[in-house]
Amino acid sequence: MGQLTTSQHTPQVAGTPSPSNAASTFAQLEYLVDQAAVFNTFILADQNMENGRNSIFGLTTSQPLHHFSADVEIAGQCLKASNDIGEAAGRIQQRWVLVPDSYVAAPMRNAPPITLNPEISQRFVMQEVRISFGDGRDGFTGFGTGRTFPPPRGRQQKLAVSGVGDILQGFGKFNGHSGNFVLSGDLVQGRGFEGNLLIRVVDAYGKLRTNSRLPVVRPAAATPDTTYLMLRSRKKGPEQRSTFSYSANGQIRGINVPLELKQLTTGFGFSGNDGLVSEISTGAVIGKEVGFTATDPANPGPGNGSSEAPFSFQGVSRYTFFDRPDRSAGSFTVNFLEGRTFLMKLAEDPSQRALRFAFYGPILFGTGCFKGVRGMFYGASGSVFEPPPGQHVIIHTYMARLDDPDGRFRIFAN
Amino acid sequence: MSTQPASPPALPDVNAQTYPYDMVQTMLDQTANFSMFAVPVSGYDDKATLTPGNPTDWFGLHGGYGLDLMSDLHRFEALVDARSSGVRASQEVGQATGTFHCLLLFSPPDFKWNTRQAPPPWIFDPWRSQHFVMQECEVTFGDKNTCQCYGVGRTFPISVNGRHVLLAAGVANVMKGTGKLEGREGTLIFTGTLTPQQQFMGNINLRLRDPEETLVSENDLYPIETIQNPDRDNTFLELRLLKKNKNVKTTFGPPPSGNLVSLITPSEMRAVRYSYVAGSRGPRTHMQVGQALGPMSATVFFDLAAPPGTAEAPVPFTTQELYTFNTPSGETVGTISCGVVEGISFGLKFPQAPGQPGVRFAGFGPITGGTGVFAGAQGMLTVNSLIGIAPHALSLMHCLHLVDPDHRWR
Repeated sequence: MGQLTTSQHTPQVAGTPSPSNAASTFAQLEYLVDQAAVFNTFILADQNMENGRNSIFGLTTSQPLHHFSADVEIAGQCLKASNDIGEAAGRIQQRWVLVPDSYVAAPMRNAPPITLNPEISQRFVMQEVRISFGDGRDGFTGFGTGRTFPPPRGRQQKLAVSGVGDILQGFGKFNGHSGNFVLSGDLVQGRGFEGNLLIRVVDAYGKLRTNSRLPVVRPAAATPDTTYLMLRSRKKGPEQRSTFSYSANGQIRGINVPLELKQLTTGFGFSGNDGLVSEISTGAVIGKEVGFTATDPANPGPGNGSSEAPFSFQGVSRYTFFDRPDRSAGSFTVNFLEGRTFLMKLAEDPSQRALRFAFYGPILFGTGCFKGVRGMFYGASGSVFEPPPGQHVIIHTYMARLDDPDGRFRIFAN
Repeated sequence: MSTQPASPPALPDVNAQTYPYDMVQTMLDQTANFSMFAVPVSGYDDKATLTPGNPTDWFGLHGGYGLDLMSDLHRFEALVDARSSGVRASQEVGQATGTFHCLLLFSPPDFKWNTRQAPPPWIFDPWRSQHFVMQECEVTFGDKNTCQCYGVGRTFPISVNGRHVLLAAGVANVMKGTGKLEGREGTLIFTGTLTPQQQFMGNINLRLRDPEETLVSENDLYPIETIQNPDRDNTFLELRLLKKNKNVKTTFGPPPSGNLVSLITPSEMRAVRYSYVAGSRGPRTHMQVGQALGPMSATVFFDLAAPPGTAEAPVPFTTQELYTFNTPSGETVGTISCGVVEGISFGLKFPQAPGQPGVRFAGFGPITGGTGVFAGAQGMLTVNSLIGIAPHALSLMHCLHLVDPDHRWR
């Protein structure tokens, strides 16, 4: 923890002005993109299904949101994390509906439900999402989509699920804020969803963040078979360029994006007159990321970037972690199967093409200390994109959710 | 003007004899049959890439939009034995003889066979059955004998004892060869699993025409040197199928739709040992046929009006097949239902018999059901075949890949 530094820095005035707006340097753009609050929460499977039902699909559920921390460090020549689930601090109400693969989801549409088949991967929509904090005055409504990832595992027949969502309407301190949320965890037979809900809220004027240290999470529950690793990635600087990838016929097939990986610590709580706030700290560089997203920015495909019709994307990234400078301890490769991108304006520089997006996908395989790893990787992000060789500012808030029954990736408290 | 509906064109008599049946059967059997077992090269996943010439184009990340497969090829022999106690196959994986390298690029389901164009980026999703094309696919024996292929395939996600398992099967046409494999017509087929490191492990059957018998040996080859089986979860039943005798007729079934016809083809299954070596004198193969195992009935669906398939435009086909396994005394111990979902066929000519039509074809598809000792079976069928048309003689090299973690069929 001692090596962490606050990310809420003053924008630097150095750097090459962005071509699209001479007033905005890379550093200034990065500062603007970084104006976001993060709420890292955990949902425990505490539902008591009526009539012995095993599936939550079609039901309206209401579950407490707990504080959650998943701070990483390099320990024992691999990346590991402590995972602390704290006291309840909010609530999530929602209704999930399984839908056909071909269903085009949108907030105001009624999905044609299908039945659960735990043997195959199925899509679902997250309808009537209402997330609130504290006494319920601060929060938002949302909408999202996700997938199941069979087969059910273990004695409890847990079925892995992940989903990505969008804030539709904020209330209380979230009034007027846009943002995204991602969740990943398990459906536990007869008890509902258990897992992480990661929320990123655009916060141009700093109303949802604090520089003060909030109380640390007091462990109240555990996730014995799973370890979560929280990360942040961004460009080292303007010199770390993104490039186009071209197919043999010269057409753009996507964008190559190199980034550096850092430690990330977040917390949230109520702070005096400020009310609900989040605290974000970034730490040391712990690795690198190289990725490819199959998108042509000039032709982003169906959708218009709105909450009703976001753009979709998919991609692949490899995350390599260092146990010493430039020495790999291990890596894993992730395929992002579902990503949703939303257009947004930067309050201080509305001329920029800014984006916020969220995504998830399976960890395909690992090397080194991650050999044999299984799990899910997901995140929520902000970006300003100008076609290469222009500026590409991007900041990811990531979470890796690893199957870890033996605690390989866990730092245990003494 | 006639009020009678136009009658459909008459179907050809596929059983007619342009040349004598036995002569056609002999010509069809003039192939070198390589039954191999692919074992991933240890550590290759660290350097695997779809874009070796451009390492900073991360489209090439292994596992993302495709797989860069590199396997050692081992001798493989799987002799099937059917008794009243069940059906079992030996699974002898032998010494390494060469390598198999292939780029699998995932593709949209409607992407057509195209040897000159890569598919658009299509991300690998292990939970969906996906199509792929096989590019830069090469089988190498030693440093001189290679054959390069182009093909297509699919993944098949299944659940096995609570585990997510991804089967992969593919079919490819030999496009080019070197050394003793230069100028060969042939077809490659594979079925197996994708390992946790996203490499391929399983059976590869390569069948090359060899009318001059420079690859086929009439004599036994030196014995396989069995190694510890690298795949304890899968059993492969190697089969040879042909008509029981020249009097067995092929018939047309009900036409399924459009221009397609269905051809009902009875055959007899036999156990077989496909052996090969790849020493300093180049690859050699030998086939030893074993006991009769029972009947197999296949209904083949294809476009009778299509011109003969070529390397650039093969003719697709599908099948529905029923394998009935009998003991030597005729007792049925189990059946397997399956069918080819992705099949390609090519026109076949015989220099020794001008005007004799034939077809070289191969394909794969999932096992859809089983009875008796095969109740609950999961897995894959591959076919790698040559047939004559009029007479309808058969020379079929099939493999039934059974997911078998409990060694029910081993």
